[in-house]
Amino acid sequence: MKPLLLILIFILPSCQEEEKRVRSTMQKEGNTENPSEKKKESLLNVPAGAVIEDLILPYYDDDQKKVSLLTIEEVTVADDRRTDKTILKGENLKVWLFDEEGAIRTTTIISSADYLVNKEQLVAKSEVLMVGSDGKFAAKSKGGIFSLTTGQAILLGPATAQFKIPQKKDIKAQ
Amino acid sequence: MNTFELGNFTVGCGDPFFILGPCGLEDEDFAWRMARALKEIADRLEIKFVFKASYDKANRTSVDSYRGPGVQEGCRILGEIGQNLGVPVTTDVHNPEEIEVAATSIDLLQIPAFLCRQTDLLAAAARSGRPVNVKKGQFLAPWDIDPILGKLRHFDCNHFAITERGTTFGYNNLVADMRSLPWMREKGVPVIFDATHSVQRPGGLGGTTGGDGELAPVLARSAIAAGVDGVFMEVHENPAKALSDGPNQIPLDQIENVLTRLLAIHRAAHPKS
Repeated sequence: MKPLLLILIFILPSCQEEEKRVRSTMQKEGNTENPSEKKKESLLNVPAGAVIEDLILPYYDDDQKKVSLLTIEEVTVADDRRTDKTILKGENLKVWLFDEEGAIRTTTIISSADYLVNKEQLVAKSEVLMVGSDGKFAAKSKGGIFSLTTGQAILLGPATAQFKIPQKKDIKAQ
Repeated sequence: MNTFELGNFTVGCGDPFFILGPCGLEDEDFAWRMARALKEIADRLEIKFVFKASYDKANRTSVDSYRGPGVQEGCRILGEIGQNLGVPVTTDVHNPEEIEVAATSIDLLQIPAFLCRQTDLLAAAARSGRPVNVKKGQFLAPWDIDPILGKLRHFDCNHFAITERGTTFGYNNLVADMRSLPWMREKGVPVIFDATHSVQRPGGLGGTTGGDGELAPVLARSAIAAGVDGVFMEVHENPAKALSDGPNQIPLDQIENVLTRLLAIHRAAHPKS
């Protein structure tokens, strides 16, 4: 387990079968609107200075596959909604990133961060703790940037990471 | 039978499982205490156990009544309990946004009886990928579950169960019709019997809901004999001080005896399962 200065990037691959299934579901519903877009528009209508509690922001790709989920315990709208600088200042945040099967890939806990509404990015300048759902990976850093629409994350150093590497005999067994 | 996996067992395979826990998630220490105590009993009796607690009692009779810690905190607590004790956990969800959070840590999503026909809620639960337990509304006949099952299937959900929790019977009263259990099972869906909510007297105490908690084990025994896939019973260490549904909950110090009798009845009534 060595401390590392690191930048980690996670990219979600696509899955054609899952895409077909979701498309089929959407066709059944006659609904092709991405809920992430609806949520973004709603947020842009919240006046500056407003305080929101327990905000839940799920993000889907164009085929309504879940990509990420952001929850924020308390949010203050910090800027004018008509500019490109609309910022939600959040405290006690959690970010989940999902894999192509819809399973949780990582869970991240952040004490405070700014959410850039137009860019749909979360920028953390406080402690970030990211844990892999398989228990084989954990990282702690002093900041990070999360692209919620793509499921990509960059942890900003200084940072430490722990990886659980299989024993040699386990590798042989595999 | 439309079976599904939950934790390390299969729902709908013949052996009943038990959803046990307090009505409301009153606080974190309380939830842990209840979960540990129930897990010990479940291990002793070798029963299939799912821990239940509600993070938001969203349909209390009075606006002044206790509701709970909310979805984020509640699901965190339940998720940690499930992970640490190695038991599946369940809780009720009230809107599609809550389901987004609940699906990250809750093994079995429960749709409340009053919301059992809400299409958007069923769709969100179906899409979550988690098994879904729909409580049959007090206002529905057993055959009225067909459209609910149809909605879940429409949204590609094949892992679901239905819970009988009593049917409105005149004013401030419910009746638990044991005929509904086989009728609903004939539809190929696992059926759970909610013994403690079936003895509710909705609004029966004026500003709050009353109930006949001492009759819950009686109904549970009837349901087990009739044949169900699961039994749901709310349990509290001190029902008199419970922050919600106190009159219906089974005292923790009595639940082991209740479960022991249920197991004996199941073995006698269904010797081949």
